[in-house]
Amino acid sequence: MQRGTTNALTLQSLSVRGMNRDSLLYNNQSNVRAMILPLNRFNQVSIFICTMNGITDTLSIYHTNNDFLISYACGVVIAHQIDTILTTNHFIEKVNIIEPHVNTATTQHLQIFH
Amino acid sequence: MLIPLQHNTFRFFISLILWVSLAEGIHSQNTNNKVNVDSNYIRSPFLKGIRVELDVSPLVSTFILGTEHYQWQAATQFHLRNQYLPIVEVGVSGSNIHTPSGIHYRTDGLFYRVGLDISAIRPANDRQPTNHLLLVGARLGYSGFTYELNNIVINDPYWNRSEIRNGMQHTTSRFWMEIVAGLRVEIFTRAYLGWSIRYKSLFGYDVPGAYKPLFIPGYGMNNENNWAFSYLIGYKF
Repeated sequence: MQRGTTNALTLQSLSVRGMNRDSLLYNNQSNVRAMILPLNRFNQVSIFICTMNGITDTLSIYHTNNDFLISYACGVVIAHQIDTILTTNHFIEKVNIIEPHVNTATTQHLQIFH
Repeated sequence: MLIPLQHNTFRFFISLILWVSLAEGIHSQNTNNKVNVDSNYIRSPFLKGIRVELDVSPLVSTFILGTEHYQWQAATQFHLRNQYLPIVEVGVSGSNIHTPSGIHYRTDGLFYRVGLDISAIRPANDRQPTNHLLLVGARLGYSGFTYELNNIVINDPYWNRSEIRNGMQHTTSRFWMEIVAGLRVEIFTRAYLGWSIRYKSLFGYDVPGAYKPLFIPGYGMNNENNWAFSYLIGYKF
């Protein structure tokens, strides 16, 4: 989001990886307006290194994890409840939690302001 | 904690023995009481007898078909004026299921039902009562049981970690109602053979996402509705 507005900002480039992970979730991807990040299913915090328009921030998402049985035929997934967001403020100004409950539904959970 | 099958089976047969003893006592009491007999009218006693019966359909379903479930049940039914037949049923049931997702579900538990049947065969003025029974009725069922879940696999491909959860035990209870119809034929003096068909409907609902029971003793699979069939042998005291 652009500072002071609710207009979505288009990033010219975005690279994201998890802390202590080598594989990139986004690899210098251009024209990005939204990103999908996998929360850690076994730890209470998921830390991402985000480089947006060449500026790097660390995004720490604190959450709880709960088993969610879809069905005995399909098995179990992990649902999350986002508690707190901590971030450095090089590119990111602040992060708002829109929907703290994370499950199989596709919806917006966070808003990142620049 | 999981209830051992052997312990449930023991309690089940102890209950059955107690019922049989109770029924024998009432039968002896009835034979000692004189019933007033009118030349034109035979008044039916209030309690005409107690019938004990055993569901033998598991002999087919469990041992021949080799299903993932087992169920043994017995019943005591009171013949009141040959029209109203309150019934108490008790049994032991369980399952051992490997689900398509790999989760292993296991449960054993006792179940209980109480209810009332009404005889659809009513001879005029009760002059020549038939001992055969065409029954329709209802039941209220209950089971309190423990179930165990094993081999719950959770993968986290990005953060590169997997876990397999075993030994997850849950204790719960369920109520349900049944509509029952059946036939009992007196094949020899006091010996009955018959069948029942049941339509079952579960009370309440499960919280979405929770580890709900897959199989409920006495009810069957945890569906909104179930059908069941019983083949029964019985003896009337």
